Amino acid sequence: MIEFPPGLILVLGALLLPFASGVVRSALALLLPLATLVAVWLVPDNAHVTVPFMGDMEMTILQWNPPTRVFATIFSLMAFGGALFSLNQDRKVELPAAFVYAGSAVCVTFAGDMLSLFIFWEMMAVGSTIVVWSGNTEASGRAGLRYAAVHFVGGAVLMAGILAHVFALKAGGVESPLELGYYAFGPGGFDALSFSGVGDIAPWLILIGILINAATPPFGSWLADAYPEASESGTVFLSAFTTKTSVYVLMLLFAGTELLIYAGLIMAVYGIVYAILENDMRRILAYSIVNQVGFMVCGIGIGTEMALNGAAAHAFAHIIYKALLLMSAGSVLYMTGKRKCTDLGGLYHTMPITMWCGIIGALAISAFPWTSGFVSKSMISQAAADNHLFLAWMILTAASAGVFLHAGIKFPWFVFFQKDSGLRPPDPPWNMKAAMIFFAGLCILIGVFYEPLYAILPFPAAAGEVLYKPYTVSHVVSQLQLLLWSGLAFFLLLPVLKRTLTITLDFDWLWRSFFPWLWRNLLRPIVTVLGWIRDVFFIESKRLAAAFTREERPTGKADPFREWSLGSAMVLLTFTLFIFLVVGFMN
Amino acid sequence: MSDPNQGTPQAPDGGIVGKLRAPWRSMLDESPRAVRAFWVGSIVVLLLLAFADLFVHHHAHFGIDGTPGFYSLYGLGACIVMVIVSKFVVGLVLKRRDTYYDD
Repeated sequence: MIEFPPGLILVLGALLLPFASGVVRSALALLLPLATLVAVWLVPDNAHVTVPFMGDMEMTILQWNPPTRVFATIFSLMAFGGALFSLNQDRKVELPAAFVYAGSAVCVTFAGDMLSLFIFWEMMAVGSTIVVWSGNTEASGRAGLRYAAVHFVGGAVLMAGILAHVFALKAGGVESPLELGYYAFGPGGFDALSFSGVGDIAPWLILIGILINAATPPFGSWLADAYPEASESGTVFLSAFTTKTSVYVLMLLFAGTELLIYAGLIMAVYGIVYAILENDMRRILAYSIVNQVGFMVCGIGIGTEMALNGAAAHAFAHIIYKALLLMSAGSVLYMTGKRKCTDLGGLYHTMPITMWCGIIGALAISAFPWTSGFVSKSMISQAAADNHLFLAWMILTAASAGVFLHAGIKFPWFVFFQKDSGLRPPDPPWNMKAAMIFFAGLCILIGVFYEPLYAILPFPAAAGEVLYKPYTVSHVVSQLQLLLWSGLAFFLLLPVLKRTLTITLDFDWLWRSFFPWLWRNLLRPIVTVLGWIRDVFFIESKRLAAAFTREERPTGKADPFREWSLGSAMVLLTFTLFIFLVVGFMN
Repeated sequence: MSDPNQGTPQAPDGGIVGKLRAPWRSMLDESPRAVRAFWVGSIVVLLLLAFADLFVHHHAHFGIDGTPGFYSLYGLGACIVMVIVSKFVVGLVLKRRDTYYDD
């Protein structure tokens, strides 16, 4: 029996990878995720493992939570698929980093208290940053730095929230304030989100910390910024874990929080709008991650058993088809070196396997009947309808149509069809093809035989009852209508959808463009002027006074740069504090 | 890196038909029959699906979703609205050359 977090197999195994080469390395790369998968399923139902922490505290590093099984299973499976896809690449650091990242994600799902959850959460940020950096380009270096900055700020916000809550619980006389149960803010315990008062700040900080990782606007621009800059195999790993771990944690802590319904709807629509405008094929798919996670977040906001089951099932299905789509795009990038839709097209001539696997992924993300997306997403829509959430249902339905438009047709059409780019690359090496065929098979298998997936959801059906019946004539017909007619919209609007060499500004514009501009054109001049004023009043006047009273002594050469920078920094600090003071008084 | 739709010279047939044909040009050159079969097949399927509602009973939750053809029209309409809003509202304000951050 397994009495340790299964994710550690991947995390520790990753440390062996750099020392292996050739067949041993390949074998390790494939066997570590499989061993993790087996270990997940061998953890006994009543497992409860604690380790001492900082003397008198205890961390629970292994326990089952309702959504653990479905998330831990798919994370392990994803690590296997990603490893198979990246088997032929020779970047030394990427795969070990990806395994640390994936293993930490598995560990998060087994964490029994906030502290261990947070530690593994931060390990994910470290691993994924290195995966971004493994793109080995200047762009990936800078994108990785921005990615790391956002995630460590997010981690700090989350930690601040946890600490605030710990102190509040301690003050209330709670013995073990890190237990997950105290952080389940759901509909009942989360008064802060009722909009009627400020309430306790802890749930807000925790929620924002998680939503940063879930890529919810306005905190979400890091995703489309960083993911497409990683290597073709790195992006496949990245697409799976960060946002879906956030979905898992949201499900544990914030199920039924009404605010999340709206956050999810915004994400669903935002992803579509930005994907429609995008030219980079992997960035299109990155935006559609936000769109899909929006469905899950909305389901968590609805918070009924059906909705939570739907969100968990959708996370499971989504990881597979999104990885498949990014494998297809990654294969194209690997074989052609091109990533912009304007440079691609007509690849159906020579890349049939990549094309068909891409199309199957596209059908699955669009939730076509007999694919995995259909049996998972429809539960969320059903939950919205059952709860008479008319607006949510209408937007989710429109977003479902929009998925087909922006990812389902747009990606295959502009990459494999449309104009002939003249490129004639063959299909990629065998391991990439094998990974794509494996995941494409899973997309269809889950769509047809969905019962095993339904059986591991957070709220399985009672004995003898059916959890949910996705295949009714009415549902199949309505879904096909919705999708195929939105397909017609795509082809009617093709002249408008013409690809352009553009990007679309997102919130990261604030720190990539606006803040530097603000510094150059406003703050630095102010600081310089303040520096002059200081020089005149505090240094020159003193020197003047000294000149009047006694003869000036020759002084050693001062370092003007050092003097200026330290002094102006102090001035800036004083100035900022002054502003705070003024703002404070005005309130 | 030329625009995909200007890579081949514009045919004289302008207007809406010409605009709709333009993205298909290189595929039309290759196999006009396949393209035609795709369109004819698609239109037949679309119509069959829309009219299937006359025989399929939808369990309506809100009323509007039980109307025959609702999903067809809503899918078509929602997509047209989303594309127009993206391209002509959001795009107009937020679109920049893709070298924007490099400069």
